[in-house]
Amino acid sequence: MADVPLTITDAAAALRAGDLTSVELVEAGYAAADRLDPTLGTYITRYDETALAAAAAADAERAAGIDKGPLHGIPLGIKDIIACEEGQTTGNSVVFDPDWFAGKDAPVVARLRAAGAIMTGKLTTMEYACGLPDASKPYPVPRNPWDTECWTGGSSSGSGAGVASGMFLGALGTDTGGSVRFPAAFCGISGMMQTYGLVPKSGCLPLGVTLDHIGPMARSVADCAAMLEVMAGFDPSDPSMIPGVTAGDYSSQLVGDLKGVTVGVERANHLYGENRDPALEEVFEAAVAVLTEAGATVVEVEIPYYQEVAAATMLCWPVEAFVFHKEWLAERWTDYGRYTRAVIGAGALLNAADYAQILKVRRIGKAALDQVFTEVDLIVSPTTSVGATRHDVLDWSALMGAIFTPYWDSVGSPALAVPMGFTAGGLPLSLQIGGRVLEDGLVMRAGDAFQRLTDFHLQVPSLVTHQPA
Amino acid sequence: MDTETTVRTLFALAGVSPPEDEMAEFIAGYPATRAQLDALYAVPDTPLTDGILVFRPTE
Repeated sequence: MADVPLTITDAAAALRAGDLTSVELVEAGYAAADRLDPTLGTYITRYDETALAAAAAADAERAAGIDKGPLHGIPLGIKDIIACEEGQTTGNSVVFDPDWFAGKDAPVVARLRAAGAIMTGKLTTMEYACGLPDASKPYPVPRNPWDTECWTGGSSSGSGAGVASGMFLGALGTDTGGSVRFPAAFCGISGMMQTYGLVPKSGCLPLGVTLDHIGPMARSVADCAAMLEVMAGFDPSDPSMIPGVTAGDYSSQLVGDLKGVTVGVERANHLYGENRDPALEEVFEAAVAVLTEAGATVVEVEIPYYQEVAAATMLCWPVEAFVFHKEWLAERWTDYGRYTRAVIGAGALLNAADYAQILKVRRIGKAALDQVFTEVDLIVSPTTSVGATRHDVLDWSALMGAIFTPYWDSVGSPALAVPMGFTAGGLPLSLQIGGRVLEDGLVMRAGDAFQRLTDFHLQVPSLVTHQPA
Repeated sequence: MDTETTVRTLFALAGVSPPEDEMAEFIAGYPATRAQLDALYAVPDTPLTDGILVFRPTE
């Protein structure tokens, strides 16, 4: 989409100014997909006909003076574990119920649609949002637009690759142990995991029900804020929501600086060991300096029980996933991908006391974090210790040691990933910003302030800019 | 109970039967998982733990 805006914010301005139509925007995205998707494996299903019709309707509404807001006429992609009325939800699996939520939108999709957003199609994930890519199954293997030999990260793989390659301007991902922030990091875009229970997740296939979030992914934090404003707020269909919770006016909180904000820098649990990119420390310290430049007061912090709470996340969701999949696993074990059945099957190996202890440790960890948040307003760290991993050396255990996302799922706090630089090999590196429960606006304010002083989030992979002769 | 018997018993109780090559991988990986779980039991209790598993009949 080289000749159209890179961000939702800029596209919305162009649409309002009459410099661009929604049909042109959607067509440009599909043109990018026609060219790149045979390599990148982003879409599972495209909704060309309905998306172009919706775009034409949005253009007609705008011509008639109707403005539904910043998402009006904006093309989005939807991870294929979230229901859209246009078609089935596969979960990237051959083990699924085609009647599940059939013909209906998940509430979060319905909200985006009501705000004028265009659903362009369903996107690759790992099977049921866990495990690793599996070429033996009849779904595309997602590849990273920064280096197609590398993985996108996951599990919101298509969401990350599609935004980074201009197939759509924003996407829905889901995050249980990091599946919004991890692919955002590997693909060089922004990804927001908001406070647990702020966005309804009914109509989304579950992974770990006490950890799951549906979150926005886009190039800029301002775009994520525009999406979250529409997505957030109580819906009675999801019993895990915070009762009566309402969306914030997040965009108005993006004031452009961090004056009066104290940022804790967490190096103790993030900058150690061998499994990290040689450029990580320098890139991270430069990012911290940008936060200082934006007006933040920066101090050192160490999160108590960090390792235990992060482990709790990765032990918790397999148990909860096993409960959902137990019957199918008993009957159709080998129909699941090998990596999927390995991680979900492991949920059978914990006993009831173990699960209760996991929940206890999450509560203890959250209480300890609350104490840290009496001293600082935000906590920053790298999102991962490495750039995107090559497909031919993907290893679950090694990856888990390089990802710093799971901690935040267990404590229910918002956490945001924003691009902060590159490895020596030109792969994106990412800054993670965590905050207090329901202070999503402050977290995004920090990410936005960072992006007003940097342009890493606007960098486009050469694969996308290179036009074939 | 040894690791292999434990893993086979837990899968049997769960009603799931992985093929032998995958069972071997679960058995090999179980000690590390068990060590992670045991580390969670070492986290000191706080008064908060009384309310960890609250049942609210109104929800």
